[in-house]
Amino acid sequence: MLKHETVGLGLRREFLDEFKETENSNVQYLEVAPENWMDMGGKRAKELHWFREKYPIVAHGLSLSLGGTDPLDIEFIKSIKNFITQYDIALYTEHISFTGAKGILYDLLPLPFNQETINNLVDRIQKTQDILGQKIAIENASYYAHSPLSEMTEYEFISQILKKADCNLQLDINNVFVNSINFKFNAYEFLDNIPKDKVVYMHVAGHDEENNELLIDTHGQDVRLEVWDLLKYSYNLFGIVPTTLERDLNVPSLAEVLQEVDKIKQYQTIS
Amino acid sequence: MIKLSQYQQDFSHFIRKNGKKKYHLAHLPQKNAKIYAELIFNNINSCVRVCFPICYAMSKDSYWDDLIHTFIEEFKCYSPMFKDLPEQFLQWLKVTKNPQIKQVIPKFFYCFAHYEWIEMAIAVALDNKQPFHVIQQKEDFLNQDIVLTDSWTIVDYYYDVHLINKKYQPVLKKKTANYYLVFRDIKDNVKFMILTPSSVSLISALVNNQLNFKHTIHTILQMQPELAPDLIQESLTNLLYELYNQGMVLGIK
Repeated sequence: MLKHETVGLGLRREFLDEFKETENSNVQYLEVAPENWMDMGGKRAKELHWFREKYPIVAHGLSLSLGGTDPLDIEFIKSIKNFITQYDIALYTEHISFTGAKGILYDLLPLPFNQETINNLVDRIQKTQDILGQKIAIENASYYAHSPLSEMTEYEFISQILKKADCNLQLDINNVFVNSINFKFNAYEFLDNIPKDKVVYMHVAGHDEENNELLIDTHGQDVRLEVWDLLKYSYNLFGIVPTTLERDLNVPSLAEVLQEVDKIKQYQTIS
Repeated sequence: MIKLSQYQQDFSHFIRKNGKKKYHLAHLPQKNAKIYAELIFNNINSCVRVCFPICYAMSKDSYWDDLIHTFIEEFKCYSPMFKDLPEQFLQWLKVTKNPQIKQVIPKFFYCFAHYEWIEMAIAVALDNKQPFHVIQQKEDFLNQDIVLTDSWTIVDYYYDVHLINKKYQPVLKKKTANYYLVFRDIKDNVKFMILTPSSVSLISALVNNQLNFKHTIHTILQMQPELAPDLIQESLTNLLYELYNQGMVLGIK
């Protein structure tokens, strides 16, 4: 397991070579998407081995479709289990979303916040945890469209899943902010209503502003001041947990990326 | 009450239809739902086009976007791995009967896309590391099993795919196929070599004889007794030595 006061970085091809040469950064672990690194040979496998020698690794899933209604991909979960064993992965996380029906669409689609969705999610999370033989953490996803089938708030929805599935929460601070603007709720009230003992891991990232009322969680900009404030608030509320900077698009120089890693470290130090 | 599975199928269908109004049902999110069609198009497009740089360059001003939209609409992808998206695109390209797509893409397009894809497929194929000894001289092949690189294949196309670019786009199929050896060398570089049909036969015979030099020669002579043993042995030795210098043959056991 990772220590609580640790900072991680989502591993990206854009800065991979430069990062190899970097010493004395505040990066204490790396996060990878199994869907981009698993079951590969050649250069890709050698790179991952190289990084694993130096850093603990967290696996952050994209395609498992925990909220989906297509059959759960058992073989894929078994592959993830092998990946976890092979690289001694510290934590596996996935999103509260679905990735398509009758096939995969390779993005995170919004679920209705209702009892049927909770039951489906709980069943699939429990099956996943049974196969992996460990607890997973589920991430509050960003969303841009609200399902008319929803019957409760997002925090009520998440709280019930956490309780019934006996899993942990990966709290994405940027997603809380993005959703609060897109759906006009109070981000602090959202955080106040998340179960205190379930948050084991956090994400921070930047987003794009489509217009005044719509933010898109692109991980393509610097982290906004409001998100840093929410991170500070979350550390006070939930305690400090391993926190990863995600930067996936419009990637600046590694030095700029590492400045934001340093900033997370500062927030961990002062909180 | 609409069931969760129906909601997901209808939402996915709406996205596959590129967010067109007539597929937007009342139980789907009303505001911003079309954004998901755009996000998914961008995501899938960026994963696919990186594998097909020349196909993309040739078609980006005309039909590339239509290819991706129609791929999303028609093909059901089931691999959770992003590296498999280009392969699934290729599978779709091979089977699609869509008349608009058939009309706009050149006849060589599938072959050429396959040629572009095979480079990525060989680059990321799983390792199967075997111990080997480097050779000191050509003759070392004669008494030992040969060790090949982890990842390789031979492909054949009825177009000069290695010449195709924006300026050279063949209209007619060739009468005979070109053979290409595609392999990953020990430094993980993917290399292409054009092979003659006789080299393809020799490599196939070698593989069918568990990469044993003597068994391979024996089998070839059994099947073609009219061939001169010395000549066959020399041809195979020379081919192996060339492949050794290129990095396809790693050495001997």
